[in-house]
Amino acid sequence: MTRQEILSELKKVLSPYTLDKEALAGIDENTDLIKDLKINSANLVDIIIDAETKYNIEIDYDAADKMVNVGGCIDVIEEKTNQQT
Amino acid sequence: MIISAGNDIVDLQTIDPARTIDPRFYSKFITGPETKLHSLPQLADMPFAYFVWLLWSVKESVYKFKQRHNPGLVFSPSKIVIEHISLTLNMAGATNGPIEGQGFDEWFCYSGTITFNRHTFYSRSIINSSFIVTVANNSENFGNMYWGVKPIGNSSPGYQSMAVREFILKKLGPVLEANHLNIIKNPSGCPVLYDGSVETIVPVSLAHHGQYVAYAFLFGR
Repeated sequence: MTRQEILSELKKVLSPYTLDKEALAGIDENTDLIKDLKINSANLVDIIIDAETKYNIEIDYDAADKMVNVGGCIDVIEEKTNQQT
Repeated sequence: MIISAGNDIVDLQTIDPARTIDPRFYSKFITGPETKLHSLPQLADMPFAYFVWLLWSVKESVYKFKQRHNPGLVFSPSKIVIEHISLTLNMAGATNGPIEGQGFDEWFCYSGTITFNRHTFYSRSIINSSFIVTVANNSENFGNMYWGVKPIGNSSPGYQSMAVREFILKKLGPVLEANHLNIIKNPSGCPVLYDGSVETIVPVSLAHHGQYVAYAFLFGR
């Protein structure tokens, strides 16, 4: 999967947790989940769990810390899925 | 000693209880020793889902307290270690709100002791069937910590943001005896209180979740 493909799929993971669909449609690697997408911090763990399920990966404490913006999420998903191959 | 304020609110109607008590979920931010705190006699009667969100709320409040002076700080809940939580039996149990207070001496609350980056922090949390509200401090003395929690009728981020500002400014005005207060978030997302165009030294913290908003600020010596 390319980073662009992961970004496209990531929109589906983030969608249940943001009301700002316009901002979601326009996300790029610098988009901050809380500041830009107005996702409540209480949903950050939901996003990690949903990403784990979607990609069949395990996201540990250190990796989870990076998932504050879209680029960080893509880094983690890319790294963890590559470990499987 | 740094001057700051950090708070958090959890709307218990918004959480997913089944997901909350799944170890796959809570183990993302609660460590093994912290999980054992639930068996403390004072906490054993608390539903585990409430316990999980209590710990989340404490960790987030400590992060917000610390982040004011460390703009680049990343929220790493597993590194904010809750050492102990105890129940303080004072006078008042919380209603569904709005409720406001100065310190927690009159409240039925949970007191936490936390370590983070070799520093010790303290928390006070009030829980009822609707919400968990927490305030963090780097002193056990919460006497100058003002706080409030209030239900709102709309959970959109724009409304929450407006409602929490209106709520705290209504309290700050008379306490600071100032008429031109305004809150602006700095580039790192931390709210800063201004009097007209002048930045004040009063640390404020805002929180919203679902149908609730909450504030905390430190004022006075």
